[in-house]
Amino acid sequence: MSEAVANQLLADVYRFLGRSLAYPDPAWLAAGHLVALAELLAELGWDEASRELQSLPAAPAVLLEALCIEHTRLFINAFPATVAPPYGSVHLPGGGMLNTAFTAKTRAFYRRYGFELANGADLADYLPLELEFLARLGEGGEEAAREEFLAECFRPWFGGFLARVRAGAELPFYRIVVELIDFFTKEEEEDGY
Amino acid sequence: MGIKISRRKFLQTASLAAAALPLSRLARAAEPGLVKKPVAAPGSFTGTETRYGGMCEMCFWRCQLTGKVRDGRLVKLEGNPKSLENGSSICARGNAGIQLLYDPDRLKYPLKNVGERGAPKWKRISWAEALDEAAERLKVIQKKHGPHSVALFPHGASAFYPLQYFEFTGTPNISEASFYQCRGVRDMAYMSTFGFAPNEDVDMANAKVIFLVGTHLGENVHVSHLKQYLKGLENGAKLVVLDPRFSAAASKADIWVPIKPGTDTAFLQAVMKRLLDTGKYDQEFVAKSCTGFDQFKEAMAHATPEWAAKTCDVPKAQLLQVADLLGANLPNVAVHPGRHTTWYGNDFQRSRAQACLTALLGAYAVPGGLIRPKGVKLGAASWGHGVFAQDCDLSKFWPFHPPGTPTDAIRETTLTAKPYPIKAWIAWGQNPIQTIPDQARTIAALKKVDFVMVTDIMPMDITMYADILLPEKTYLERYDYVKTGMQWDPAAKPQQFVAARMPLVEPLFEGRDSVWIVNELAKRLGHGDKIPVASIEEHVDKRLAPAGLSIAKLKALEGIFTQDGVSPYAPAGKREFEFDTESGKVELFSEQIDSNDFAGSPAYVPTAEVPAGYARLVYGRSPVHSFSRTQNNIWLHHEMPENPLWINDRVAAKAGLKDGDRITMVNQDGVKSRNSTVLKVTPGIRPDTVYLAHGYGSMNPELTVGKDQGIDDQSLITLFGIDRETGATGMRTSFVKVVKDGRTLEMMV
Ligand code: SF4
Repeated sequence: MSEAVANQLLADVYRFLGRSLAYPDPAWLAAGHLVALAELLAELGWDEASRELQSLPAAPAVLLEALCIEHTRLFINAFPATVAPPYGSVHLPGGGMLNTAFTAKTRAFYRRYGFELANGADLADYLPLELEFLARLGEGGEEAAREEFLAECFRPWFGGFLARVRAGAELPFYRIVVELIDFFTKEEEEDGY
Repeated sequence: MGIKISRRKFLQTASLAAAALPLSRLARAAEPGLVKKPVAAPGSFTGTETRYGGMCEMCFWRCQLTGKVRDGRLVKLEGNPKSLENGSSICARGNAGIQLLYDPDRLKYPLKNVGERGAPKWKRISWAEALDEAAERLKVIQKKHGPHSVALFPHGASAFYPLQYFEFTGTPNISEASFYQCRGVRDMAYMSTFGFAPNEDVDMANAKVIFLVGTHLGENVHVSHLKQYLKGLENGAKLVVLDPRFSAAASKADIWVPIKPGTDTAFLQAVMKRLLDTGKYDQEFVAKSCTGFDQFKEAMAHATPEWAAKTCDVPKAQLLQVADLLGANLPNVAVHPGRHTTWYGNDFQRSRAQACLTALLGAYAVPGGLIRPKGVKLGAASWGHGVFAQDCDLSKFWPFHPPGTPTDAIRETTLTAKPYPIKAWIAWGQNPIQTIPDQARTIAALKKVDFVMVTDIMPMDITMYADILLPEKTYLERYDYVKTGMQWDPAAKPQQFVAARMPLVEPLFEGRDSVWIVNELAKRLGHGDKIPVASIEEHVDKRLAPAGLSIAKLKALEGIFTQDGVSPYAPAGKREFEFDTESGKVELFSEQIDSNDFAGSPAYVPTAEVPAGYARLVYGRSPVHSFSRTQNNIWLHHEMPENPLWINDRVAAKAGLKDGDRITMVNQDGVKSRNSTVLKVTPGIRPDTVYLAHGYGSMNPELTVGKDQGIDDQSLITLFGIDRETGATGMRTSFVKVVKDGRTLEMMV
């Protein structure tokens, strides 16, 4: 198995997980994200999550409505509280603010590796953007940089975000996606976990 | 987590099949959020750029700003050194605008409430969906019940355009908190007296005496206004403060009059009588520029110092001392007109008394007096006047009402459907739950209507009740207001300025400006062909055009245009003026007011006495908050996280309360405060009065910083007065007891 192929797969997984956090719409649903997620879960042997995924409403319109409401509740604005805004700076100790020096640091990291935010892109520490950056580094064979980015710009906040999603998610979809992000970004232990 | 395989193993085993995995196909089809650019060397420094044209909206004063922007990120706000008003200074709230811009709780996308009003379940929708639905629902309501069945509650610079638009559609039911729960009373009283609204244009910087009736400058912070006040004090002006509380201003006063709440008009009448009796008034100004002197004098005749001293619960000697000090320093006396003047429902007459006192002292167009600053003439772009049937006009019972319709009339009409149904409420930058007393009735009205639309930048109490919730750009991300005026010190070299609010940073998320939102709504409601301006930029340019300016020109001028101005002082010796009143003179007695069955000269109307065992709840400003709008601002929150309840030390001792005790409150109708706060025990407040800073204790838990912090004074105001002349809402009319450890305590000495 070539390292390059493995890296490409990991990059695809990052992009896919980032894309899974996009606001759902009919086109997104029709593209088969749930099917792809189910296959990924099968590959990983995460049976419990597979079963949970199957518990989602089957009718596309009902499913879409449920996912839109859950996405809004988790990540955008919610009553009584938004569960987990997907921006790094918010989850740092003493955070509570968007677009801080930490966001700038994340953007500077992108630049060091020749990337800039596209026009209209969200803030630099928006989770899907960070996943895309990880994918780009992987595709470029920049494994050391990937590790450095994870250590400096990703893991410091992701744990807080993960805990809030775990505690606050009502539908399994986003919880599973965020658990998978954790799985694919956490520090590898000796046994590869 | 039940993943049965290691990451490494997964990547090894699955990668053969990778290309076939649907996730790879989906992943690679994703829109890129990053683009390739030449590599930036590590540590390369992105410089800090100064951007001009900002205008603060953390309060209504609208200081001019510059923004320090690093790599698109606003890192610091400062006053624009070119400003003739605030110069390079801004206040704590102005600085904290950055926190508002980057508040994670801010409204980001249009939201639809798929849950209940009051317990919303939000769903993000597109602007097209939001506007289509809003227009459809408004159309149905307007068609069935008429255009007047839509009520609008606007506030702030961005609300001018929606206000004009809904007026144009034919609803008179528009109520601005800035009028009906704030300055409307004052404006109407001064217009009836001097023919113009006074703003806060009183020349404190060059006064010999500054006379504040309840105004608590220092806690009430507006930068150039405080510069004027402090310069006046530095120059040796004597300061007289009427306030039941030892406010920041009282602490600097030469004479602090701890007046009984609600009796200010009696005090002012007695002061005016004393001036008349001693001849210490500006006889030339009164003779040449005022009318109704004889009726006025007769109306003041009863106001003996003994009567006023008893009525106001102040020493007679102190009252005379104040009157004599004012008389000795005429005409250079700054009788501050105040701003928030809706106190007891007898407020028009008090503001009239302040205006008449100003006239009696001849304190007009002279150093230290009431002045009329001259700015640069600006243009307009308007929807044009709406036409509505006279029988739809709910304001007709209040002949001196400010523009729009009294808020309480709209709410009662909504609840009773009499004389006609009101079926839609739109709030635009206003939070009627914290601006209008008796929250239960406001909430009942919000639950009764067929449609509620709210436009704001942050979650507020009112946003919990929206069916459609629209995010506006913050004031740091948009164009809107055009301001003109003169230098802050009226005695300095006369200058004029024009400034326009311009964005300091690119907008975040999907906030839109009010012109765009209204135009899109108007197109859907069949008014596309009447749209006066295509964009907010065009609106600003039209406002600037008569001054020979444009956005581009102002940008080149670092945000502010200045030119030589006109002194606000009349030539020395000029005592005859023409005013824009019915008589052309200052109306010490107003035939117009009299013919409407109100007192033609300022009259004292007593307010209800404090019931035994209670204290009157009064409220005011915190220097680090602007009403309810800054509750969630974590920088400001750190400065003053809750609003301590001021209570008289003797009352506290009798009730067994100590400084720092945590307490709740209950009012005369049994309404309990939702939250608790700490007690500030002090001799600096009358025994019959307790005090809270306004703008705390939001009921909306979406404010992660502000929720449940301090007590919402408005939640305890269920008894309120409607000003008979103007329809404005008097709100210092509720009474409370303190509750500690479940025990309700008597407020008495
Ligand atoms: S006084 Fe303060 S909050 Fe008000 S406009 Fe000026 S800087 Fe902003």
